[in-house]
Amino acid sequence: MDHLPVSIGYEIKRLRKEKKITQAELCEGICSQAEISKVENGKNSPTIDLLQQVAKRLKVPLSMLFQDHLRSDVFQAYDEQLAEMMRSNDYSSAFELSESLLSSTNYEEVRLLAEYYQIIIQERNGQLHYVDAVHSLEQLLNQEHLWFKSATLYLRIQMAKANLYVEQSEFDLAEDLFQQLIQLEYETIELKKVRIKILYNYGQQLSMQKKYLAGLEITEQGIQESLQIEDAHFLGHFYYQRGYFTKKLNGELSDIQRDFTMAYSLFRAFDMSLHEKLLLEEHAEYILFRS
Amino acid sequence: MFIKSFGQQIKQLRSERKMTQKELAKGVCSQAELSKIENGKTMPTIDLVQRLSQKLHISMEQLFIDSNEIKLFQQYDLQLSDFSRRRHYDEMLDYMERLPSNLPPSVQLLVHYFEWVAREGRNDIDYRTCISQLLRLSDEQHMETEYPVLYLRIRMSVANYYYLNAQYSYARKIYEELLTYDYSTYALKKLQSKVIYNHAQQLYFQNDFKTGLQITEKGILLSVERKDTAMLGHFYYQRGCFYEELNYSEHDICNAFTNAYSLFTAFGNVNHAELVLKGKKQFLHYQF
Repeated sequence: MDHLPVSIGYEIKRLRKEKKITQAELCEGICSQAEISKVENGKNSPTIDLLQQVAKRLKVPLSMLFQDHLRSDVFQAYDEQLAEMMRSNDYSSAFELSESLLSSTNYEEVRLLAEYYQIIIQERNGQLHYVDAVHSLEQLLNQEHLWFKSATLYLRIQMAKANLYVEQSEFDLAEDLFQQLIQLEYETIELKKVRIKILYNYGQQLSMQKKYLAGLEITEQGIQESLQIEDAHFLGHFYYQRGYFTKKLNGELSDIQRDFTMAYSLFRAFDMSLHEKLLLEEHAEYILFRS
Repeated sequence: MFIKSFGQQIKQLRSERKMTQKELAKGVCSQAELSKIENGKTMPTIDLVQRLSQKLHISMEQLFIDSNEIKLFQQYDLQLSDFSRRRHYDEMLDYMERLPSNLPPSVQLLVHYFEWVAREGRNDIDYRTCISQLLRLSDEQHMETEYPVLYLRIRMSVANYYYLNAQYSYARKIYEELLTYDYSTYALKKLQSKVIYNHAQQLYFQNDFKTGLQITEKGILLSVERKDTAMLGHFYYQRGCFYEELNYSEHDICNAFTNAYSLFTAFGNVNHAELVLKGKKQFLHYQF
């Protein structure tokens, strides 16, 4: 099956419905309704000129029609389902789902996702030794052009590898890997967000190793990069980390108070109650106010 | 026009990757066809474009974003906004006269926009003329579709001229229209927060605190949902100001300003943190 016309058709239909336009309204003066119907159903491969006119009528930039929502919707739906099963330690259901995905999906990305989960499940089950799990993850990473096909998935698998290292206290290997990952180029906003998550995990690893000074540096970087793209996903975590590192390094009390208080405000403001609770359990005495 | 710039884009990507036409065409199409595409003489189907994009190691989405134009736009925007902020209108108009004539369309529109701003600023034209010219510019057919960010900015600036000249109901009407706009891309979503903030700000100065607070709450919800730090400190500050006017409890007011203060600090926005400290110190639970 050729995927591109299908995904573009899906995207056009999705946008058209979102904007509450009929097929007739969309194609008027551009092409026949029969043709637009074929395009929406992925049965016709349109020229880029036709797409440009359609994009104009939908009032979206042309590049938006190439956002593969079908693929990413399917990918995300399965990813969330599998992650939830893993969280509740329901490995047998997770394995079953990944098996059925492997035999049914047309998307390479979804297949790779299923393979990735299978490795993680088997390692947790004790069916796969950690060394073999790392080896299998590496084989997945060696897929040709994986970085270009799905940078997000590539980074996911690398991070899973780093986590395995950390769990086995192979800190040097983990650190090498983190170092390697932060050298990559992160061009889109989406990837920059993944990079911030990597910096956070790296900071956590350095914390476990009691390398507080090095940790402080990575955390600072995380703060700067979060502020650059105005992203709050990990900002509270970073201030928490910085407060913790500063405390361990016997830094100024006022600095520690400021960091934990900022972390507290951020967790409150962005509705991250689990993290707020953790912070209050561990470092309540440093937080300057409660709202 | 579009076909031509698309061809140029392919050509540029190919040379950046140090590939010859022959290398890129191999397994995709004939070299003659690729040459026609690069010169804007042929309209490729998306299948062919996809195979090209794979060989160029770039996503289809990225392929249709003209990064040169975006960079140029940002560069000129920065420069012109700076003149405008400092009210250096003579310098700005001088600068415009010396601009190269082959600027891409989005940059040209940006320059037009600032030209009206400068002329109004210098009192060459009165604010009504400026508004009608800006409305005309934003109503140009392709503006809303192709340059939605610029479209929204021009609309906001029209609302601002109305507001500055005490035409509040007109300003409000424009903002109400902007609130229902469909903010579908990342850049537009960023702008949406600013629209909400400015609208609430104007309502505050018109003493419509109830409506203003509703707008601010909308901004807070959106920022939290998107984990967007850009305007959240400002929204909390606005909330505090509305709470004060609407006689909320001392406790609520303190929480709003304290949150604004810690968020400004956390977001590295030192200037605004200072402002809260100066103006609303009596409401802060603590200070760093």
